[in-house]
Amino acid sequence: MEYIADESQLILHTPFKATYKEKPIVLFKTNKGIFAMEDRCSHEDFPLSESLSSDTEVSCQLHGSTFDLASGKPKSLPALFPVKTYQVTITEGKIFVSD
Amino acid sequence: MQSQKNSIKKEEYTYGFHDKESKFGKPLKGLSKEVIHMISDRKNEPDWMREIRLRAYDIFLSKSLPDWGADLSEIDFNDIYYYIVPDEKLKRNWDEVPVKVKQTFERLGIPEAERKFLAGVEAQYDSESVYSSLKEEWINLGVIFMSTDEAVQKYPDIVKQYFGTVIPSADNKFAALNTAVWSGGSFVYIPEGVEVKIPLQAYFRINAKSMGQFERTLIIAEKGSIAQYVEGCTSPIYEINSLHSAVVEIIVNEGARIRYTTIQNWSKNVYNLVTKRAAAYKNATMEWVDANLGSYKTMKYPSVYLLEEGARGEVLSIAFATDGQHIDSGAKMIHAAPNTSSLITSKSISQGTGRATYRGLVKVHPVANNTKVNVTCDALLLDKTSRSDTYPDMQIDNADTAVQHEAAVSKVSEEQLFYVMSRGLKGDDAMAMIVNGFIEPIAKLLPLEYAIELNRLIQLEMEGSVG
Repeated sequence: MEYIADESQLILHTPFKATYKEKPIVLFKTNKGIFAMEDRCSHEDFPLSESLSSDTEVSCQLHGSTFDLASGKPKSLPALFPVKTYQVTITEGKIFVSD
Repeated sequence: MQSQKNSIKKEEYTYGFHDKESKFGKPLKGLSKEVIHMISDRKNEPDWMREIRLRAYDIFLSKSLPDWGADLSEIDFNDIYYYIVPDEKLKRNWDEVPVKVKQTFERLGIPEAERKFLAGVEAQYDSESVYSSLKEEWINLGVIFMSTDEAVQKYPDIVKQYFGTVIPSADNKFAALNTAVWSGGSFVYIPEGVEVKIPLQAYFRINAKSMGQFERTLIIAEKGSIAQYVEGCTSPIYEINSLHSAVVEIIVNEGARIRYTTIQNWSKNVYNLVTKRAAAYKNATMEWVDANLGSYKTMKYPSVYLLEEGARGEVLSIAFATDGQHIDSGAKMIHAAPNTSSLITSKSISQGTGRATYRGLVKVHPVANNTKVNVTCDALLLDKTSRSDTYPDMQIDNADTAVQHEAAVSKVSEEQLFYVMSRGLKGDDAMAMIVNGFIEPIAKLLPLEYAIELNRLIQLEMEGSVG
């Protein structure tokens, strides 16, 4: 488990760029919780941190592929494969991420 | 839009007539949030669709024109009518269609064709569908065939589930534009196990000057179903260019089979910038049969995403570019599962200063074991000035793949012509026979009436009669 940020640093539906195990990840705060995923669209590797999220999904800015924030599964083409997601734990306002 | 440089002979393009436009029909030119709200208000749409449109508008503004393919720099997006308010509502009975619209479609042969051999017809005139019908036997089997606008009202859950999932608005600038201002198009739903044995046809007609037509088609074929959909397009000739930017999304579920046939015969002042894509699931088959004869500039690459084991995709296309035209077309096949197969057969013909381009992508992902790919691109040059380009792109990331790729460019030789003429045919007829022989592998896949129409159109092109 790795400390990433304080909860107060996150803004609703706005991407928060970070690194986990030296790899770029992105956090999204939504009305359904905080989600962490690899910062890379599985279609053409464009950073998902360029996009705003809804409560349940994020769409890549480059070609519009939509991913489920919880599972990372693509919900629309042209992406075919899921994006890796991470476990998020919040303790006393601090956000921790693990595999 | 700026005036088109290439001259168009009005009297020679069979479908180049136009009707008087409605005096109530035109909103302001140009694209803005106000126009999008006006479209959504007119259609009395649910909020979710209005939001999809508004998001797409922002995406459209943020995206640039493609820096490849046909030169689109002359398009002035502020000089286009994005929506024309129809005089009348959608009709189910041909007799109720307004006389001027009815006359147009009768001149194009639509009602006659429906009576003879079609399962259903949808006719779109500028922005809106004016006529939609489906024979009762198919309604009784649960088939749905109506305008996409009507489907948003009657089947919102199905539309919401699939709309934009095959082609998201951010896919490209013109998909975003279509999503922002779409109007009309067909919604087709084929229930599980139903085979619609005769074609469903849509006919798209641009009538007004500086008009943009942005139909949106969504086809869902449930498990084991079979259907064939045919679309035709024509427009009048004006000195000012028009824009046609459609989006077609198709979902072919397990074991289903869809053939989507297009006979595109826009007049030579139309930018035809279309995104067509299908998602094919387990053992499904998707076939695109695509004949591009008209337009000023076309960019169109029907694609199939082969998402589950055993899926098959085919694109069979013909492009005929004559003076002043650039038809940049092709196909995309994305293999994302084992035991998938694809076939691309592209035939292009160039005449005069016409330019035909084949641009294709085959992508085989590492998971797609035992994939079979066959690509054939043939180009025929009819004279010394015509041009043909081929840009095949093969990205094969799986060693267990069989790929065949053939490409040939040929010129009609004096010897060939002499041989055919020695059998009694005159010059134009001899050339037409050679060209018809060239496209025969694709023409034979069309229903007979369409094959005859295609041959007739090609003959007209050969005579310089079209454009």
